[in-house]
Parts: sequence; C-alpha cells; structure tokens
Amino acid sequence: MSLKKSLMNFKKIYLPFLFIIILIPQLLQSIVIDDFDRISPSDYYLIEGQKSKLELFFSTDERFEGKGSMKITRNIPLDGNWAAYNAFYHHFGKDLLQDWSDKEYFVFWMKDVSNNVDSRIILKLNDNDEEWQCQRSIIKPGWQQYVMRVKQATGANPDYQLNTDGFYVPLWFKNSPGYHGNGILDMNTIFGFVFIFTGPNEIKGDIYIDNFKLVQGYEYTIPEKDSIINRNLTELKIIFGPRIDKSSLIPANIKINDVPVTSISYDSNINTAICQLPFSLSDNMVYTVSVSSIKINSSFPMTLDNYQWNFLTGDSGRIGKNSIYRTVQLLDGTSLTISPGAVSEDIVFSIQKLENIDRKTYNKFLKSSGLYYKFNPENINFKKPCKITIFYDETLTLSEDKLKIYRLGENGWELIGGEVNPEGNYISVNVNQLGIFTVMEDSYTYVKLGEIQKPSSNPFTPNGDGINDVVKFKFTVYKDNSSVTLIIYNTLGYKVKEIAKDKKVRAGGNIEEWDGRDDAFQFLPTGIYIYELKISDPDDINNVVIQRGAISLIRN
Amino acid sequence: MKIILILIIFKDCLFGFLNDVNVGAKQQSMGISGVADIEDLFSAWWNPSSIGLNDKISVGAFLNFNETIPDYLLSSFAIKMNKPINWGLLVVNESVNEVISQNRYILTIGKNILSKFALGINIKILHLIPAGYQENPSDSSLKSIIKFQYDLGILFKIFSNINFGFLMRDLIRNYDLNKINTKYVVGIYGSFNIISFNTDLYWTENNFNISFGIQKDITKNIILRAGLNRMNPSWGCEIKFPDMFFAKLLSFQYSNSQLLGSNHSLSLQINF
Repeated sequence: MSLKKSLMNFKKIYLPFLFIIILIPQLLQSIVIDDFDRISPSDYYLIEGQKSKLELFFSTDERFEGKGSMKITRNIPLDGNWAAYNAFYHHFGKDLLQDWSDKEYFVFWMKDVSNNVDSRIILKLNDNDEEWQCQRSIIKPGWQQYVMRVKQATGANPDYQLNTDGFYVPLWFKNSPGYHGNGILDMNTIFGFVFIFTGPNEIKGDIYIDNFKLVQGYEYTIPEKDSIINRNLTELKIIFGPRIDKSSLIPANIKINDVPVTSISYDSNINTAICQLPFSLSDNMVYTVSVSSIKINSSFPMTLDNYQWNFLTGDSGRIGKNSIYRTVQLLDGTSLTISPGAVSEDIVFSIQKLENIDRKTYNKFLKSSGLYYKFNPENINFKKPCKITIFYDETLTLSEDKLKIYRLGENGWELIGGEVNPEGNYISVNVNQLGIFTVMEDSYTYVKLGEIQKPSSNPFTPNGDGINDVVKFKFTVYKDNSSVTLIIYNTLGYKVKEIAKDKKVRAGGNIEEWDGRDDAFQFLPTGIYIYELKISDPDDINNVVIQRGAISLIRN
Repeated sequence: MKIILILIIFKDCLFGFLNDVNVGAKQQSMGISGVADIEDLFSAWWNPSSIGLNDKISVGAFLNFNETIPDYLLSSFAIKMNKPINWGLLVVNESVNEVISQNRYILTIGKNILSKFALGINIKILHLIPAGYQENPSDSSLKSIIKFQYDLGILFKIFSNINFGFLMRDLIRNYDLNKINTKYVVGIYGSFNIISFNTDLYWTENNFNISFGIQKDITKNIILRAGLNRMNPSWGCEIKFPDMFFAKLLSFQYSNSQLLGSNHSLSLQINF
C-alpha cells in the first residue's frame, strides 16, 4: 500500500473522529458548581451566561461516606427556558447526611420547550471509584415528570446501592404560581430551579441552583403547617425560608389568638423562626397563628401580611411527611413520636389509656404495671421505626431493670423490648406497628433475637422451570452480626445440606434458599426433608432462636 | 424372578426417585440398622429378602413423631403373609401439615432358595398429594404425582445365629439432569444367647456410614435396645407377650433418639 493511499485511508477513517474530538470541547462548554458538601439553606449556586450548554456538577464528600457527586448535562443550548422555577424557600432539614439505602431512583419535574429535540439529561453519581449513572431523553414539551433509575456504571462493588426516594420538585412547587403563565422564559432574566433531595427519613435539604428573579405578583407561601401540637408545647416553629428579612421577625408580627408571641429566635440551619408562646396551650382547642409584616428579601421584595392558619391541640393529631411536630403525648407523658419518613401521608395519631385488658393472656413470668395504652391507628405499618414512650410509677414493686414494653398480639403479649430511663421513670422502644402496649416486668432477661417465617415455596420443585425451584427461608434478625445456621436433614436425621453455618447477617429481613441439592451438589430425591434454622445472639451464646420444620421436595 | 429381570432391564428408563424413610421402632432403637435382621415385621423394608427367611404371618403398625418438628408425622401399616410365597405389604404415610401428604405402597416379595439364602425385592410406589398446589397453581408439578422405585436384597445365613445381608436401595438411577445415588448396604446380624446385635455399613458414591445396635433380653417379656449412628445414640425397648389367646405374639416397641430433637417411634406387631 502506497504512502499516499495510506494517508487517504487515514483521512477517510480517522478524520471524522478528529473532527468530533475537536468539536467536543466546544460542545461541552459548561459551568460547574462544586463543593456541594457545603450545602445549607443559605447556599445558592449561580449559573451565569447560560447561552449554551448547561452542566451542573454537585459533589460532596459526605453523602455516601465517600465522594458523591451529581451531574446533570444537557446537550442543547439553554436559550429557551429549562427548569425555570421560582424557588427560594422550603427547607426541610439540616443536611444531606442520611442513609439513602433501598432507593434507586430520582424523580424530578422539568419543563422543556425545545420541542421534539432530543435533549438528554445525564445523571451521574460517584462513590469513590464507583460511578452510577442514568440518563433520560427530554423530548416532550411542557412540564413532565421524569423518573431516572440509577445503575452502576463502573466500580468493583456490585452490591452497592444508590439510595434516594426523591430528587424531585414536589407538587407544591410545581404548582407554585411564579412560573405559571409566563410562557417561555429567558434564561438571562428568569432562571432557577430546585431539586429537593429526600431520603427514607425525611426531606433533608434542598439544592438551589439559581440566577433567578422573582416575577411581579409572586406570592410567598409558607410551607404547609402542622396541626399536631405537643401538649407541652411552649414554642411555635414556623419555616420561613432562607430569604426572610430577620429584622422583620419581631413578636408583634407573629401572633397566636391575636396575642403576640413573647420572643422570636431564628435558626438559620432550618430556616425556622422559633417563637415563644405567650400562654400555655389547652387541650382540644383551636388556635390561630397569624403572620404579618414579614419581609422577604429578593429581587422583588415582598411582605407577608394577613397570613394565618389554625391548629388543634390534644392527644391526637395529624402528622405528615413534612410535619415539624411529630409527637403525640398524653398528660401522663406517654407519647408516640413519629420518625421522619415513617409515614408518607398525613395520618391522625392518638393515644388512649385503657382500663380493662384481658389478663388471661399473661405469661406467668410477667408482672404487670397496670398501664395499658392503645396507640391509634392500630393497623398502620411504619416505613421507619417510631418511638413510643411510657411512663411508669416508680412506687410500683417492679424491678426497673427488667421492665419491658409488650404489645398485645394475636397470641397474647409479645415482647417488644425497650430501654428504661430510671431517672425519668419512663421506658422507650421503637416499634413498626401500633396497637395496645403495656409495661411489664419479665423475670426472664432475654432480648427477642429474631423471627422466622415458615418456608415458602413448600413443596418446591427444582426442575428449572422458574416456578418454585427453590425453597426460601425468610427470617428477621434484630441484631447486627447475629449468626445464622441453616441445615437440611433427611427424615432419618442425616444432614444432607449445610446452607449456612454461623453466617453473620445484618439486622433486618434475610432470606436463605435451598435448591434441593446436597453438600456434594447432587440432586436429592423426592421426599420430605427437615430444616433447622438457628439464629444466635452475637453477645449471648445462650440466646438463640431455633425453628425446625418439614419441607417437601418434589422431582418430576 | 421375571419381574426382577424386567425391572433390572428397564431400570434406566423408567420411574422416579424416592428418599429413604424411617420405619420400624426396632431398627431405630438399634441405630437404624437391620439389613441382616429377619425377626421383625418391618425388616422387610430394610431388606426385602428377609421376608424369604421368615414364614410367620404378621400384622403391625408404626408411628414416628418428633417433639420439635410438630408438623411432621410418619405412620405405617404392614402385613406379611406366607402364601403362595412369602410376601408383605407396607403402607407408609408421611405428612407435613398443610404442605404435603405422601403415601408409599411397598410390595415385598421374598424367596428362600437354599434354606439359608434368600432373594427379595421391594417394589415401591410413591403417591404425592401436595397441599400447596392451590397456593401455586401455576406450578403443574405440584399436582398429584405417582413415582416408582425398587430395591433388591439378598440375605444369607452364615451360621445358625449369624446372618449376612446385602441391599441395593433405589436402583433406578437416572434423573433428568443428574443421577441420584443408589444406596448399597451390607449388614451382619448376630445372636448370642440373650444378646444380639445388628451392624450395617452403607455407602453411596458420596459417602458411607456405619450403624450399630445391640439388644438384650432382660426377661422373657422385656427387651432393651441401644444403638449408635453417626455418633447419635438411640435406645428402645420392647414388651412382648407370647402365646396370647388370639396370637402367637403381641409385641410393643418403643424407640427414642435425639436426632433433630426428641424423636419417638412406636411399633405394634402381632404374629399369628
């Protein structure tokens, strides 16, 4: 091949790539927003000169116990409007330090006016040497909700899961009036959007990326209030957002039942005004909070006037996902505290003291305190454990160190556990379910280690058809590093398969499986087999939970 | 013999596979051994040729349960006749509560050939009745199923008080994807005055095991037994009443082992 021909081939083959390589830097003009670890309500990340590509880069050294980052890229010029929101408030928490486990997607709202142009959003998350990414084409005009599922792109740990149940612009924000009706936005005049991160616990923080201006007539809305009020409430918390003019936060501007609060302090970390109440609250009363003359600093300064809402006091109350007050409390101090993220909707919780309980269900080792409480609603299952606290009478002849909280189940009182505070004379425990609870002294000192369900599928048919090919042993362990041993025997008592031997497991739900083969990986024949599943306490060798049962293997 | 030959010829192309079951209080109390034993009604299950050297007419029943596995129960009924040749029928029901019930019908035929030597065959039919089919109706394999299997055994009286037995259990070997091992067992039974013993050695392609049991006649009516199997001890007793008005022998047997918790077995045998 001649040199000339070689050069021609080279041009033919490689020049297009060279062309692309040369062009790429021009296409990738971007603005990087970094140091996301500093995120706080007062941090605003400015994007300027948005006439070309928008690339936002957030990073934090804290999010996943490693380096985390989020990258949003856009491959068309941003001379139209894109995600233009009038956001400047609404902070729900302190930071992004949270467990984002068991979540793997982001949801956000975005508006694009580049009709039918394939605009792509790429989201990347880095955790040390691992990179997680997802991407979506944005081709529909108007406001759209996008759910992006994140997959691991590179990295050595395939078990790592990215976690978040939200990266979204919530409904209240989507419906906020500032942008509506504006039509096409000019990136040089109005631009801004907010992503609110939420984790399993609660919305923890929001990210502001803005160079926005408020439009005329924009209405400042205080986030939804909570109607649940602690009976012992002495202060009132109001979220105002980061742009509040603190000089306007004077007692005369915030009143409860037309009585000014006695003093106001402002917590910048949570953008919340903390107002001391001028009087004690009574039960089952409706109180009205009114706000006036509160100034908001922005490009278009505004004033909040005649803004008011009501709330109800009592031993029941509505607790929602975004509630500030999260505790229902009786006069004797018995309380229920709903953890952030434990509920996904507003629910009315209440506590009822009971007088009569069927005592036939008592375990002979249990000595009653005589305290029975019904926590409503009974049938709710929390997404996260919530704390109940029961106060006891120290004059009772009970050993405080043996007090435990019990829940009335189908088969009688079930041990829940609890930590006793002997100084405060109360005992607290986290629960996943409400119902009737009591405090009793147990002459046995043990801790419930776990629960084992009956195997499924039983019988099982390991014939490779994808149906019932394995038998699953599901069990819940309450202590980290508990040891699990699972052995299969035939009915003669011979061990045929050792599925797990002192296997350390994490607290929570676990599953072991058996495919019908023995320790030599030989197929075992049709028949009945016996399993023995044992959970051992890592701290107490005598504390074990053992379940034995029969399973049926069918070969055909 | 024709049946045996036919089954041997077609052994690789028919039938399914069954697992072992544990029948007989005597065998359990003696460490799950008894391949060379001919005295017990349930010996036929352990070696079908034993029936060829035992001409007694017997009926019996057996029950096995475990305190820590309450959902499992094994029960069986056995009958042994001596005409036109020695044969027996054993019906075994194993059930797991709310999961499955399975019946085994085992026809045993044994033939004494040279007065000291016997051949025997167990023809086994397994009928599975899964209860979980309603839960998983998509799995057609959970419908009622019938399977077949057979065992061959020989037994030889070396001396008047010492027997040698050999058993090939589950001779059909091929399964769809893999093979399941035939179990081979050899055993020796010895009797010396009031003490007798059983010892079995079994092996498959993957493993082997030795079991041992001994029994002592305490009185004319009471027998004590003990056994060892994989370091698991077992014990049992038998109370027998010979020459009853309705039978030549009425015998109650009990055994206990600590395999998987406290395991109990009860047998009843009547010889006519």
